[in-house]
Amino acid sequence: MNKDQELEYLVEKYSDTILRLSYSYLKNLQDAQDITQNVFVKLYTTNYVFKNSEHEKAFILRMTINSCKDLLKNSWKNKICDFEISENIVTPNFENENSILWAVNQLDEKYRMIIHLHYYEGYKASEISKITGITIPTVYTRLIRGRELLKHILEEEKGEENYGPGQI
Amino acid sequence: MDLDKYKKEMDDIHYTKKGKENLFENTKIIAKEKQQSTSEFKKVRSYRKYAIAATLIVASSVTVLATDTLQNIVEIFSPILGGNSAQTEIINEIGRPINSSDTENNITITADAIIGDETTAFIVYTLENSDGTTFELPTGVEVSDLHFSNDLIYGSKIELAEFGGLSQTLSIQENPNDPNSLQIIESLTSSKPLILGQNVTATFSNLSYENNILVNATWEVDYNLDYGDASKTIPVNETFTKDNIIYEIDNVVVSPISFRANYTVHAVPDEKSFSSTEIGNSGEETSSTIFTEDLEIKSPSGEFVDTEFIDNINIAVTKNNGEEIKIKTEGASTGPSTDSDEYTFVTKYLVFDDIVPLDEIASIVVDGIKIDLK
Repeated sequence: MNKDQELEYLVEKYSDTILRLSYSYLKNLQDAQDITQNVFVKLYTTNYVFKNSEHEKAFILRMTINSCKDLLKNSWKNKICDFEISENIVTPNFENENSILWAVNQLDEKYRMIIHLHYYEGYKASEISKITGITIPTVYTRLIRGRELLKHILEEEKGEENYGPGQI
Repeated sequence: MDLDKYKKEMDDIHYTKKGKENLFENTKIIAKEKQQSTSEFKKVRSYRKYAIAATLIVASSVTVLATDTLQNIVEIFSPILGGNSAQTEIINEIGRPINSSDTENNITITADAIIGDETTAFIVYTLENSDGTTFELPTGVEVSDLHFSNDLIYGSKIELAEFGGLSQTLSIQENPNDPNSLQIIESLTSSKPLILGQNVTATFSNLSYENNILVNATWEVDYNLDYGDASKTIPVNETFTKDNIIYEIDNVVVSPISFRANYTVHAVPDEKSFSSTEIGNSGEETSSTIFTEDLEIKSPSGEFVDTEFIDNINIAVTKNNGEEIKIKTEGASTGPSTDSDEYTFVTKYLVFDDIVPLDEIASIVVDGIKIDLK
């Protein structure tokens, strides 16, 4: 494969993965698109040698996480931009309060990331540990704590619905 | 609580077909812009290094052919080289002529010579009209405007033995030895040792300026990655403690081209960033190749340590004449630290701005520990 073919393969295989992971981290689709673009530029301009497809994916996920961190660290994270979903991506109406995605987005980033890698990407704690550099016990702790918080958020939301305006 | 629903909702977020096409095209455009701006930046900052590398490599290949020519080159570039005969000898020892070429569309690209060490290599190519006439540029176009359309891929396709970063740059400039031709200088810097002896194909496509193709062709120049690696590994095995963290200097590797210090930190990273490899910082007295990995280090006691800490180790190469080459500390390359629960393996790396004969190096000092090269 030449470089362009490699890029085409990577875009086809990982664009959605990177977009979703970035979104789970940043809670902003505009930023998630920027991260996705940046990751591909890095992949395109640097010769990386991967041991196998698992290594490739883990590396790209790690690169994505770190790009998200960089974005949060940089001042331009505060840039003002209209939240505009372009023709590039499809998004459902997930920001309503009945959505589990909405509930996950209420969690702190450190829980969102672990929940995404475990429940969406299907990684085990030991694999998440390798991707994120976080120790295995911490991964377990965050998974358990994240679930507890999520449950609490959903119950609270349900409670508010039950006792909404006009209800006693 | 149904977390499967999370998966379903996440699945609904995806790129459209058009979105993926845009992503693909935009990546190439942004990368090219980035490459061009970086090249310009590097060109200014690294001019001296490239000029030296080119001159030295050409000198190397020419020494095999004619001492008089070598003398001329040394004389012409003595302001840069310093007229040090010891350098000429070293270049002769570690450089290798290549003399492999490919002609397409009446333009010949020839790989002239290579010089390198364990992890770094410079290759010099000549680009000329195949009939020997002067290669001329359109009016208003400067040599610095030129690039290959595949310059993001760079010339040489190098195989690495194991996972590692490989940074490659191309620079097109006037040929100081022949006004009729141009010179292409390729630099390769790897985070892992380069495998010598491998057959390499360097590919160049469509010599261009801005968005215009000047020569529509693809050249493939085959050569063997071979040179005299003069790298010298000096085992150290010294330990020091800083802010309650133990640092163990494993060894230092020095060559006339670069310097590398390998040390083990008795702490594990909590977060690790594999940023792209970059060459940077040659605007000052020394230049440093940086493998950026954004680390947050956690000590065995569980306390987080500032990322900068790992980089703030003082490393300096001291020459016999007392001159000190300080290694910039903002970059580090880490080894298989993710496979260890206790240690982080770090490499500090520096490409010298000039050829430094090993017998001119007196010592290397790593945070107070003096490693005598004698």
